[in-house]
Amino acid sequence: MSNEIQFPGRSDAPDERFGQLIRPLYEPPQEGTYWDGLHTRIMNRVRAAAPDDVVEWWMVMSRWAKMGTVAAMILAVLAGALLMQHEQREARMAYDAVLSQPPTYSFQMDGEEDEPPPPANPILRSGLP
Amino acid sequence: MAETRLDERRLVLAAQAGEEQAFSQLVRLHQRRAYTVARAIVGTHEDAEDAVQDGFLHAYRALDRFLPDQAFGAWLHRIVANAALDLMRRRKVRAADELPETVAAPFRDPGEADHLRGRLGRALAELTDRQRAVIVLHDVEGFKHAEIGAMLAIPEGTARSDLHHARAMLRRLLGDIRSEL
Repeated sequence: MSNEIQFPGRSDAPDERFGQLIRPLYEPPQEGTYWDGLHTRIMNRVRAAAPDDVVEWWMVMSRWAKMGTVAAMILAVLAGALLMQHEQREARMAYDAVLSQPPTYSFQMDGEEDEPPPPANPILRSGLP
Repeated sequence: MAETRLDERRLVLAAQAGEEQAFSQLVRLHQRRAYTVARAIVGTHEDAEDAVQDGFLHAYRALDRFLPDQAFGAWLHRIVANAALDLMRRRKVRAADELPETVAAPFRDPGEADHLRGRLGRALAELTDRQRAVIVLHDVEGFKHAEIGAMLAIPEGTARSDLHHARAMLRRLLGDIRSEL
C-alpha cells in the first residue's frame, strides 16, 4: 500500500488532506492571553472612534447639502419677497401717475372738422352795456 | 444553537442601541473566526491582526445598517474580508514602490525550519492571492463556495474554479510528498 498522499478530485466538500497539510501554516494563536490582548486592542480602537468623532466624507457632504438646501430656501423666499415688493411698487407708481394727471380727452370723428365757435347772441349782446 | 443565535441577536440589538459592553461581547465571540478569515486572505499573522482590527472598527461604524435578522457572523466576515483585501491592495502598492529585494516573501514563519512546511509555504506562494485565500477558506476553514464568493466579492462559480485550479497546482507541486503528518 502506498503511503503517498492521495489527492482527491474536484469536490464541493472540503478536502481533508489539503486541510491537514495547510492548517499548520494558518493556525491561529492558541493562548488565551493573545485573544484577550487582541480584544483589548479592538475595543480601544472602537472607543477611540466614538460615534461623534466618526466623520465620513458622505456625512460631511450630507451636512453641506443640508446647509446648502436651507440657504437656497432662504434665498428663494427673500428673492420672492423682493420681487413681489418691486412689482407692487411699480403698480402703485403707475396707478399714482394715472391719478395725478388730468384727463385730456378729445374726441374727433373721422372726416369731422373743428366745430366753429357758436355765433354771438344778438339779444344778449344788445343787452350788455 | 438556536439559543446562541438568540443571544447573539440580543447582543446585536443592544450594541445597535449604543451599549458598548454588548459590542465587546460580540468581539469576543467572533474575533477568532474573523482572524482565520483575515489570515486566509493576507497570509501573515501581523497583517491578519491589522485586518481584524480594521474589520471590527468598520463593523462598529456600520452597525446601524445591519439588519438583526441576518447572520451577524456572515456579515462580519464580509467586512473583515474586505478589510483584508484592502490591506493587501495597499501592501501591493507599497511593495511596488519599494526596491525588489525588500519585498517580503509571503510566508516567512520562524518555525519554518521544517522541510515539509517550507515546501508547503513555497507551493502556496505559487498560487494567486485569490486562489490561496479560496483554498484556505474552503479546505482549512470549511467555508462554502457561496460564503467565500460573498466574502471575496466574486461569483460562486469563480470561487469554485479558483479552488479547482489551486488544488491542481498544489497537486502538481506537492504530489511527491509522502504522508509524514
